[in-house]
Amino acid sequence: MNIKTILAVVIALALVGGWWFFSARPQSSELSNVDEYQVSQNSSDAVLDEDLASIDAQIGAFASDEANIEAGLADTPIPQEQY
Amino acid sequence: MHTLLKTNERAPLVLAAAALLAFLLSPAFAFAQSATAAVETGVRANVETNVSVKANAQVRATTTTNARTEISLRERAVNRANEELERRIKALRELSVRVSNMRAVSDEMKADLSVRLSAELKNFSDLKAKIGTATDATSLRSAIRTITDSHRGFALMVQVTHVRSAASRVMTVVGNLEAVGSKLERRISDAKTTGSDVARLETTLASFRVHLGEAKVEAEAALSLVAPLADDEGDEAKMRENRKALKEAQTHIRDAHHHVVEAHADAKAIVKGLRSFSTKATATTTVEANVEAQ
Repeated sequence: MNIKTILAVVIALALVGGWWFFSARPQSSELSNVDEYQVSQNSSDAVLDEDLASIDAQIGAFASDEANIEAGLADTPIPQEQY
Repeated sequence: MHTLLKTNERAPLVLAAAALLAFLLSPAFAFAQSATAAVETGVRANVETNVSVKANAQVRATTTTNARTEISLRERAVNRANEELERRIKALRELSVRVSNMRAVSDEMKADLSVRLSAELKNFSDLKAKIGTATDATSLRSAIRTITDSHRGFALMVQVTHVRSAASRVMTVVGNLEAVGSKLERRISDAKTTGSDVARLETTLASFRVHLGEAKVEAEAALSLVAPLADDEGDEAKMRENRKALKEAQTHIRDAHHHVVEAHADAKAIVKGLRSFSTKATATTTVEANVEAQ
């Protein structure tokens, strides 16, 4: 296997990895939709499992909230030209 | 015959020859003189003309270079200004979507946030249009200064909205967990009635409730901290106060998240415990049925 083949494989893996990373990340609209879940009155084991799984997804969105607050605190403007 | 003249006889002849030669050569000399002068004048004129042409060319070149530099500076300034405005407009649009999806906040708060975000969006869109149509340097400079001066106000609005939206999500999740908690309480009570030992589950349910209570307290504390914050308008002391309040609100949100995660873990542990009762009951029922059958 020559160096060109290795480079091609590395680039291909990086592209596939990048695509997977961005497509697997939940979008902000998806994150906001998880808030819409409503707990039903049914208290069977199966429904309780479903409730907790949905709430787990809502908790998953906490990470993006914390990241947004952090990014907001660190916000810096694009420096403007002295004109 | 003696051909040579005596010295005293040769002197007048030499003088006469010299005078004749001088007479003959004088016009040529004068012509040469004037020709030289004309050539010199011509050359000088040419040189002066060349210098003048070069000077004009240099002035034109300098003027062109200055004009190009001016255009380049202007383009760069406009591009930077537009980049920053587009960045802010994008952020505000995303926040507007987030606000419209908030669940656990009052309609008044949502309406207030929406109005503020819309007003800020309009300001930045108008500023972008102003920059696009600015024909003089003064207007452009003024617009760019507005971008720089308005950053802290924009950043504050973004930060406050993020804290409010995070607190809203905490309240939504707490509401859902409370509903689950009511179901768990019923199930534990049913299990107790059938003779199951539910002491451990009751302790976990108490812990679950404490965590939910704490999560609400933390989220409300975060909301209270950001509620009075306003644009510092260049006041450094006020900016520091705003930042301090925002950092504290961030800590409250983190703590609220921690309590919600703990409450969720408690709920999962309770469901697991309840399922073990069901399994035991099923196993007991099966054994009893088998005994009866034998």
